[in-house]
Amino acid sequence: MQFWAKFKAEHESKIKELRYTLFLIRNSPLTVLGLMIILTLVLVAIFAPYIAPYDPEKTNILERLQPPSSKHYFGTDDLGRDIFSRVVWGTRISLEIGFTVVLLAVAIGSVLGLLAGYYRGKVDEILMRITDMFFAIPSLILAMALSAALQTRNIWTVMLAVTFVWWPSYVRIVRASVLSLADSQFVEAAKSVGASDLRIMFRHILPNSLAPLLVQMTLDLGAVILVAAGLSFIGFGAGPHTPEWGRMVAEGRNYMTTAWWMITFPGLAIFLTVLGFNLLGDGLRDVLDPRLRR
Amino acid sequence: MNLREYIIRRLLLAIPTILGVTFIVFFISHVVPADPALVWAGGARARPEQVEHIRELYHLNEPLWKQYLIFLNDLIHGDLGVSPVTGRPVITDLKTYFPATLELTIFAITLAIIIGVPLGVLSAVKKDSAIDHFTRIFALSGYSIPIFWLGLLLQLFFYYHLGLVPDPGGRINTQIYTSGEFKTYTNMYLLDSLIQGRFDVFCDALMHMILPGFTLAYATAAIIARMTRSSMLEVIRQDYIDFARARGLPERIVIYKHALRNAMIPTVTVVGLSFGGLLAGAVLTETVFYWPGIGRYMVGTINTLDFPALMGGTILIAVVFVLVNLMVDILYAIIDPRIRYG
Amino acid sequence: MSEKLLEVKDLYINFYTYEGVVKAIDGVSFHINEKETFGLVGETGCGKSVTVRAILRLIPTPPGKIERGQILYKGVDLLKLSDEEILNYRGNEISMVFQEPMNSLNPVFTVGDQLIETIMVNQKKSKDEAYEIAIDMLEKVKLPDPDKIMGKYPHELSGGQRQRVVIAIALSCNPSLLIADEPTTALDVTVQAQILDLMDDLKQKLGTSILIISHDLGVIAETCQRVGVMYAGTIVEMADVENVFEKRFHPYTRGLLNAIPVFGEGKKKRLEEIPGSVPNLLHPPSGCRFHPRCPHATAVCKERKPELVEVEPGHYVRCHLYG
Repeated sequence: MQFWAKFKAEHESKIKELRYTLFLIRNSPLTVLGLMIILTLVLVAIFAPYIAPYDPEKTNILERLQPPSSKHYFGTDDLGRDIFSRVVWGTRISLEIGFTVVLLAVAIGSVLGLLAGYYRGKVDEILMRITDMFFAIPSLILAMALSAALQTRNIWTVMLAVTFVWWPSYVRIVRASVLSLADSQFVEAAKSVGASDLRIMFRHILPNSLAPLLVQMTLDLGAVILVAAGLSFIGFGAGPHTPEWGRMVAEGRNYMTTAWWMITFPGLAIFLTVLGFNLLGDGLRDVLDPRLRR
Repeated sequence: MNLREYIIRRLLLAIPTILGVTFIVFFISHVVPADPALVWAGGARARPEQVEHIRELYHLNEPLWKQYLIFLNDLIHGDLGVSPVTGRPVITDLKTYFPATLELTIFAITLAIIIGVPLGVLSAVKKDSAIDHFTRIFALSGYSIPIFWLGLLLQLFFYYHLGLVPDPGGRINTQIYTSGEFKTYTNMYLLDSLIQGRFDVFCDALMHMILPGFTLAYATAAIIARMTRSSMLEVIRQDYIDFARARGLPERIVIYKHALRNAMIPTVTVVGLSFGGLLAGAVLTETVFYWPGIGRYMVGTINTLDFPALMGGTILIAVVFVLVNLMVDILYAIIDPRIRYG
Repeated sequence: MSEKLLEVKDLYINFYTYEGVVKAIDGVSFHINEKETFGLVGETGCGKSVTVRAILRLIPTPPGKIERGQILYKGVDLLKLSDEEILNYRGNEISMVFQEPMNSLNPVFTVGDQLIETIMVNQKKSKDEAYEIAIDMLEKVKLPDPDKIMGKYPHELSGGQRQRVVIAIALSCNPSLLIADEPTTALDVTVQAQILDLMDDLKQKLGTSILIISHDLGVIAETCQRVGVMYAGTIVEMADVENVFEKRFHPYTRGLLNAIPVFGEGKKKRLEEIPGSVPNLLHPPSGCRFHPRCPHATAVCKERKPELVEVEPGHYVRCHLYG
């Protein structure tokens, strides 16, 4: 009990800020909608085995190409697999890809960005040139090239390829934050008291760069899922049985005129997921914008 | 420094960027695969003799830095390798398919600007009105929708169900093509038909392009609308807009001359950057609509395992992107006089 | 007796915002004579800018609304004009100069463009004629090398130069009234003096009346013949500058002027301040808006808002102490 009281006292102003942030979020209906969508998806992903009525990979030729019904909510595909179950399991895959890629990219990018922004000079120059090179090639194209070079077709290739494409943008974001903060007074104060570089970077600069980083991460979760779905759609990603949404749309393409449900539901799932992240990200951006607070 | 010096400086800066691109492509094509020769020869399909032949041909036994120099040298001479599938030099194939993509992307970006800018301006000037809400929904859906799904749905609706557009898979009616009357100079049919005064061909080509073009344009239009809206909102708050009104200028001129010019500055940058997304989107759009461009060519390599083709396409697209950004930077300096001064 | 050029009568302006109705302007009345400099002084947020923008109808109407009142300029009620009609007055008859000169000029157009455009639109002159007038104006504001200046972009000029350009633009169409909202606040002290001199000089040459807003009493004292003291959306005292400074009838005026430190006047004297803070105009105090901070407040001050009363010839005060 005593620990808790002490914790509260120490972090009092931060708690107040957090409370205010939550208040602002609650008052923005679109942001709340985005949050709801994401939470629903996370729950679906976690409880997929309980929600999906059928085995997503089980084929049943007798029931192929059935329209949506009470037996198969989203209908069946050309191999008789239940599309609803596949979409549900696909949630796991998409969210896995999204979170893995973004977290990896942030980890790599932040470390490099901190170094570049803090030490500047040669390190900074080199990193900037490297990120420039990456930015010159459109994401999907670069991911395609890397996937082809890796020679295998599975979810890991997709994750690796997209991470490879994504890390440079976080170098830039973190570096920008660091550059604007490194000259500020509290950093000078920390230096004058003898804090080590590492300590300054992690305890002082990083927490203050959190806001734009968080916004970008949320938006990127959607963008990554979109790129991964695109990769799978053209065939660079998941294998033939994996219920990845992009792949499902590709599979449904040949039957699109007679079995519209095959492309509609997986595509809708992608759309809603990305929409959710975009709504949440936009909302967070407005909420955390220092000019709009107070 | 004036405009001319700025242009020259930017041109020079583009060179290391392109060099960097070649480095990344080299890394991916020569370093990443376990056995580059195998991949270049056609992957699993290649026979051992072919693989050895490729190894010799591309000097893949040499130290890496030497390989890179050879690679660069080839590039400068326009040698992007030979496709193990078609047997033709990759560059020839690229030349065949590139105009289709170029035409499609130019059409799409034009469409995106025509839709996006007015929507952005109106939605900023009439904030919180019906058109503002519509624009924001439009923009949000543009970022969130998978482009291949949109394309398929549009195809399903407008072609299969409504029959309003011609059969996807061609850029113009095959009869025109085979009749031999129609000459292709640039291989960009909209342009060629205008040059020859063949308005009927122009309409035909346009009808073929409208669905893929719109699909491709959608996401970019959304980005442009949103950027224009937010920068207009920023600009309208500025003192010089107030002063423009106070001086007696009519509201029309205040918004469309003074505000717009300033608001366009960040928008121009965004258009340039989103061109990359446009090129990526072209890959997906061309696949969905069977459009015979670079994108579809590159996607085809998945099944054919034509690695040189994929790498060649990658370099071409990257170079195009760098050049587009260069043009955007120059345009930016023309619009905003503050940039030219160092 | 000079003519009344501008007369503001019983102006009430509200702003309908998310949090409620802000009663920004609560009965403002004043007048400006021909060829005179009138000052509007008060703390930040007292409504000086809002009042003055209302003259040119520059208040965005949502969320603002002019509830009632008249603004008579040469006999015409500006508030009753249509949106097109008011354009004839803006720049032509009444001009306004804003606080930060660096922000008043559009960064992507040359200074010359903006000057010529104003003249062409307001006075319907051709481009060549406008160019001549522009050069002449730049000379009047004492900018050397006017031809060169015309081709420059705002960011290429210094703060003082920009303010001169802005004044040139404002006066280019020979307005009878120039409104200057904190014209020197954003400038260095030395430049301030130059600009004030310039404005006075032009006033003499062109016969313009000037309405100056400032929170700097020094500027007011130097440049104005008459001054109005504003507090929380209303004028509390108005008279010739010397009279206001000397007699300080209204308690707020007294507080304002007492708060200025004076050199050498008894080193041990503490700086007097007015207790309390500026009221929130969402929920303004009842009756006289100054009563919570007034050392002489009585019961009637809380109940009823005082009228503006002519205590001495030409000297108006709004306070229950005087009527």
